Amino acid sequence: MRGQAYTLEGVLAAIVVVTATVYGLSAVDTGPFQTGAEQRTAELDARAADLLSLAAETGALQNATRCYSVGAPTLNGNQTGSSTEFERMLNYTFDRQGDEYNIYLSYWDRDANDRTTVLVSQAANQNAADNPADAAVATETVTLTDDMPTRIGDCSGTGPTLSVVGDYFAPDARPDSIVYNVVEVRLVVW
Amino acid sequence: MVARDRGQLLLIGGVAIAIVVFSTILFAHSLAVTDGITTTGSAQSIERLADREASVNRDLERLAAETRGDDLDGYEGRYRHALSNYTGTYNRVVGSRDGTYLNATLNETASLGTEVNQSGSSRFTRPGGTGSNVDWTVASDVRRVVVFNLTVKDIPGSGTPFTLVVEGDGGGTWTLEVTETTPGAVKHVTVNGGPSACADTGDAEVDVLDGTCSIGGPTGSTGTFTTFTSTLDAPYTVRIEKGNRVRGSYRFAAIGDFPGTSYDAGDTAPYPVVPAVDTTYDTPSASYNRTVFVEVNST
Amino acid sequence: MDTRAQTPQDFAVGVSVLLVTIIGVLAFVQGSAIAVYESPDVQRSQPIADRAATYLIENHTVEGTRNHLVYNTTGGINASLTADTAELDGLKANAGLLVATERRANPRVNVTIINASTLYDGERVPAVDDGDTLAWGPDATDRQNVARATRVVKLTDTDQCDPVCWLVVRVW
Repeated sequence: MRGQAYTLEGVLAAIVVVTATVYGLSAVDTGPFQTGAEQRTAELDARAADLLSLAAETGALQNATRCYSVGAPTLNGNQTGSSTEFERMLNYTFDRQGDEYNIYLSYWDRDANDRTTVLVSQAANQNAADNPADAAVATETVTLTDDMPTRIGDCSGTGPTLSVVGDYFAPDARPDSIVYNVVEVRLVVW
Repeated sequence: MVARDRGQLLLIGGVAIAIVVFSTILFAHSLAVTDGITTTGSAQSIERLADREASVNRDLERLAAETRGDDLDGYEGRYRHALSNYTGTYNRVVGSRDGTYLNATLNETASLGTEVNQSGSSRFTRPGGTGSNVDWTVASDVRRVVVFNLTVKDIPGSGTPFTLVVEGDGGGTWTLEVTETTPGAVKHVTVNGGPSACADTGDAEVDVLDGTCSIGGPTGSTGTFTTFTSTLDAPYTVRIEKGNRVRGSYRFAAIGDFPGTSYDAGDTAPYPVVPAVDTTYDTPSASYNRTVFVEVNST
Repeated sequence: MDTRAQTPQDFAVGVSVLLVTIIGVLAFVQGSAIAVYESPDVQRSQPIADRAATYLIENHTVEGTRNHLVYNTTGGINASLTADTAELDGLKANAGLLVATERRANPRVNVTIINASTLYDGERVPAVDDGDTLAWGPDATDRQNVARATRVVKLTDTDQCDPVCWLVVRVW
């Protein structure tokens, strides 16, 4: 007496097909290939990294970091009347080409004894645009020293130095040294 | 379906489809692959490493310029302190995210530069070596000067001036004289034979690099003069003539050749005019180190 | 039915299991595995474009800076690309673009510089400076399957790059 032989056959045949597929796909190497989405991410990656490197080298990134939270509430190339050189660079390279981005600043918080990250391209954390998982990410560091003046008043005026200024977003990580803090700028573009 | 007249239709059909799928994948792959495919990642990752190094080098330059200060003796200590604080904070902020750790320490033996100084109040004569005691070469083939100041306290004797001569590339010269007609009278600081930059009684303090002089303290005469760096091209040769005519102190730190005819061993000391910093990058995949010469541009 | 208990329902179940699996496998293979093979021309040319862009930037950068290209003076990008042949053979030889994994490749390379005001309009028209169009190599308009490498740069002694310019290398 043989039971549900058709069902058994069907299940067995399905297993054979799936196994053949798995063997076939693992026999080929698709590593070097990039899909269209991956190519676009690679291109945005290069652009973002180049932009941050150029901005850091010309000093625009440092000026923007010294301006944030005391002279400018957000660092975003898309707002009207944006003034820093860094925001202009973002505008020309990303906003005008239809790309979206988020900018994060990370610094060392001595009181919390932890690395803290803030979103600077929007005014509130919940306004952060949702980035897909394969967005391009580029980072660059800015070192702040105690004697650096902040930038206020539309980011073109010179304000009090970092060691004395009031509500700067980053606290002094090393009060007994000229090093004020090291800020890492992260740009996520998609 | 009649069970009697057929075999394992489903099973055989499934196996046939499996074979078709398997071979399709393999053949399609070999057709699509061309032998021109290469991975694109390596050029990008090298440039990211170069970006990171450029960023760290900029920070090292800024820290070196800010710790230079006026107190030259404590420079190495201050720079070391700043470097250790910098690397600590850097690793906490950046290293904890992507696993790349930086270690930057000052390498004094690899740093370039020599310093010669005379404190107190002595004549400006040759500290050691052989040759003329009064006309001697402070340094030749000088490429970078970071400290050059002197203080003339008094000029005993008949008032013959002492002359500081700097020769540039191509033979041009720049001279600085401090004169005092009689001891206790007004001192004059003149450059290239021009009008007095400063004139007053008292100690004459001259910063040769900045081009400023002041005689008689803050209430006395102060003035400026053209510096030798703005009129001459490196490499320079710095000489003192008639050094035995004056008494005072000086300090000179530069990268150049401090000849044995003017100095014995121990008369000069190394000074980090261009500090050398050993930087080590520890990444998850590799660890490499580099000795960086930090060009300190005076701001 | 005989004693073998292969009812029609049994057959239906077996066939359904098999058919669903086959359709699922075909959909999976078509969806993800075959997708990586799309546009093989672009994938073959993409590393060449990246290499060419990296070579141009590293070769013409002002010493000690990142992505500041020497523009008009000797050794600058304008001088060396204008002095090259119409097909940019010198660039291809120097940057090693003629070599692929196992055989010679013969890419066609086009280099353009896009200035800031064109970027503001969101276009990709090459810049024109004093009558010189900053485009070198065969024309790439109306071509499909072109691999592109875009780098953000600044050119020295010109004010077209306020704030940035783009260097675009197209290879097909």
